[in-house]
Amino acid sequence: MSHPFRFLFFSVPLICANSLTGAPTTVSISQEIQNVYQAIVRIEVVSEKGSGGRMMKSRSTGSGVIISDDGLVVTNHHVAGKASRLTCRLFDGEEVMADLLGADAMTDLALLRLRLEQRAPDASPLKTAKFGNSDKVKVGDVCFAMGSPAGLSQSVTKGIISNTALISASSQSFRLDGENVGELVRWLGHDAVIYPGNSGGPLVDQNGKIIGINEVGIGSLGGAIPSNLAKKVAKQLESHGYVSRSWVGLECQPIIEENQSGILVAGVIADSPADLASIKAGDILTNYAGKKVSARIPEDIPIFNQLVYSRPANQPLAIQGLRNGKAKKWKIIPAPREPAFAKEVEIKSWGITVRNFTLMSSLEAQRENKLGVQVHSTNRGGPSASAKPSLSSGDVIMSVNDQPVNSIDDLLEISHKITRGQAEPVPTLVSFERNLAELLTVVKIGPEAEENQPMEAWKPWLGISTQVMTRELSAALALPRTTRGIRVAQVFPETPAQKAGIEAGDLIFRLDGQIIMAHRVEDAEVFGNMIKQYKTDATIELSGLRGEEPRTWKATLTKRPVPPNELPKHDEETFEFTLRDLSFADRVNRRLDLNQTGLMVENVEPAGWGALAGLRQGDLLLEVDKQPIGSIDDFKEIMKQLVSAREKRVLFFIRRGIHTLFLELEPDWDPQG
Amino acid sequence: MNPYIAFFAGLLFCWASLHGSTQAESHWRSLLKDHANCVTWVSATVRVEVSAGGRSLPPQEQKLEALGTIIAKDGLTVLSLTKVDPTSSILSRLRSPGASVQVNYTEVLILMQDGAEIPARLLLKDEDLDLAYLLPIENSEEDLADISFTPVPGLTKKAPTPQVLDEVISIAKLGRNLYRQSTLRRGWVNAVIEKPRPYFVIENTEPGTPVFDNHGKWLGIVVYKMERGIPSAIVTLPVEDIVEIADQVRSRNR
Repeated sequence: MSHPFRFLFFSVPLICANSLTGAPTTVSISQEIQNVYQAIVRIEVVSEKGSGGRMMKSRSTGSGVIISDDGLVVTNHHVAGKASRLTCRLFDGEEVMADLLGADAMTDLALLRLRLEQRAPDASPLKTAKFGNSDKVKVGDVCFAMGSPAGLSQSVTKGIISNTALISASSQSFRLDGENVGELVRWLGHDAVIYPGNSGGPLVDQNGKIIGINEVGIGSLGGAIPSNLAKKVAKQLESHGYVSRSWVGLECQPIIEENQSGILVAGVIADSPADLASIKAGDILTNYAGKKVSARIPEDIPIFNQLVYSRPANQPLAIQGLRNGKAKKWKIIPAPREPAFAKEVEIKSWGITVRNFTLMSSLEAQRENKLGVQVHSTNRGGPSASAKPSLSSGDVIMSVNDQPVNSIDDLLEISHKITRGQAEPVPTLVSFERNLAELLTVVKIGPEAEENQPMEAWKPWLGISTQVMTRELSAALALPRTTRGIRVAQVFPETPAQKAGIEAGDLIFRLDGQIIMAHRVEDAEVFGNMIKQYKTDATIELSGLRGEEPRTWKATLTKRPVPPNELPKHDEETFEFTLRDLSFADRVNRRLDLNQTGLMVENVEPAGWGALAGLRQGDLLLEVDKQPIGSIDDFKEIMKQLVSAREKRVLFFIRRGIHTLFLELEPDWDPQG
Repeated sequence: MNPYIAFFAGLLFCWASLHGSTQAESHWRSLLKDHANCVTWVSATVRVEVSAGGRSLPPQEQKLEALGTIIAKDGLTVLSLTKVDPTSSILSRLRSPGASVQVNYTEVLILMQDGAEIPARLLLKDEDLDLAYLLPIENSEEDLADISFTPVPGLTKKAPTPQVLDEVISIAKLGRNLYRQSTLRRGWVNAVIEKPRPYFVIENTEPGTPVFDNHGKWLGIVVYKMERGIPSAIVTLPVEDIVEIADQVRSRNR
């Protein structure tokens, strides 16, 4: 997923230069293109990806195009393939949620369906775009790239087709979920400006037909997946939710010998259908399933791969070719092709994310079969990372408490039985494989550990901020340069200092008769440390000047105000943010009135419902659904009612700096409850 | 002076110095032998939540290890807060006003020399003095009655004040890579800071470990001198400060 974006990102300066130096041209947009423009959507995506032993949410935007009246939207896999929530913004600003029907990493395509039933009854009909024939596209043809660059609203740029068989120079450079995207796709290269966020948007010809789906930026060129391929993939995704492919285990490269045609077999995966059919490295294939095949340059290889992958699995097919110059025939039975990796799954009680093996991933791991569960990532503070030896990425869990673990379902079931009704973690014997070693460890699986934050030590407190009376300051205030002491810079409200009548600007030289030995900048802590020598309820006498008048002040110290981490706090699990009571520092720093009510937003889970609505750390929550919030208990009570009523929209009224604003939280309630 | 007398006087001085130093070293070795385990490794697992510019980052887990000094028979242990609380290092890297760091402790273990791991709870911290206090959890799966903690010797509310250039030693433990072996480090007092609060500047020390004088009397614990919330130098905090705050640990968690 990261590669295409990285290429897009790197391409930006060149794209900008091109657009600035290009000769001015007259652009006319036909009605057909206007219609396609109305079919493009900006997609806001919340994705989930395993990392650090958890499924981590992230937020991104991309583009897509509506291809049918019933709301099918084509986009890239790297935009929406791991989405847990999708919102599509139509050309007129209407927002419609969507569901992921399927995604295909090998072609970097995904298909969504808009939730049309959620639209208003009087909503206008969808505008749709039609696929054109990408095989007819020629170098030099005018094209239009459409989408939402950088998450902005829908945009169109113009260019020409620069290349009809663009491939990545390095065949391994475009990896998506472990798949080599360049294995199947030859992009349509074009110079219409695209930018991150254009991914998934259509490339359109002059007749308003989709000729490609923008995917990558390579230097100053954009690369679009040809529409004929996108159309085939979208059809399969609509029907099955996945793309059915077959696999034979052949690894091919362009022919080396001149004056020869065919495809050179570079290698054969052990125990694969090709291996079973006795095809060997060095063989030359000339005919595959009745079709003549040849590859003279790397650009020819994706065409051959498309043919191989498109044949139905488990049905024999014939291959013809040469071995050592002599004609040879093979009969092969392709196997169903599984994804390079299975989707990762979080197991909270273990603090890990794990994957099942697919045929491809078990072959890559040089395993004899697909049995076992592979550790994908571990939470550094979780039970698996704390085990001795710890579990780490790549380890394969084979059994738990002597019960075999063949798949994630087994692991979940066994874990559930072990932890059911347990309040404390349960030491569990785990057998796992690391490379060729078979290891044992004990993982304490169970409920997540209780967290705590230590209290802060009590300190006596006067409630002022001060500055040192430096020689220069003393001289400027017409005091002897040998003056030692401090100047009061701020008196905090409702504090011992305020009650004692101390004011900002007062000069203090002695504390209980002791000279405050501060005259250099580095003496800034002297006064504070003198105060800290006292007990928290001690009465002190300060002497100094107010203006030119000598003054003494008596103050009874108190404990330093309760720090934020010791205030009442609440983790709002549904909307995924944390609130706490207002602290003394909040009131002072934000200049809040002493009677100000509300709760401070301490943390907002990235891509949670709160974050999606725009809630930010540091916001002061004043009201929920027009009900004022005075305490954590108030908030809990209101939220309990809202959650049980499963309100479609919850309105927060917040204060942010000097501004106030309303935020709409629109949770996508789990239909299962 | 008679050259013979001078020669014998010199010889006597050398013998006395050698003998004195041998005595001190012998004394220190016995201190290490009897009290090496007053220093312990502590493992802390933390979940850190960072917010800056109104945006919260995904929480991150970290496992930290730090040296601590056991100061009571019930296992009350003092650490350098900086070693188990990444707040200051995160804030100094962020340089973002209004940034917030929440450190939640999910597991704290006292790593005993025999390999036992005693679950503990971090109870109190003092950000000004860079101190953290922890106590073993009484109802954990480890039976505390079977565990004997070795507190630091010479606990007193009025410890001696060393002089500049006094020779001192500190007990520490090496890391896991060196089998957590106990060590003695010899050092010298470089400076005695009296105001605004007493600190000793002693070379060759490790935060969280105790420092003793020539006679094996406990002087204090090595911590970071904090400057606006950022660790700025390694210093030794006198025993009085350690003990005073330790009283709060007990009174506030009773």
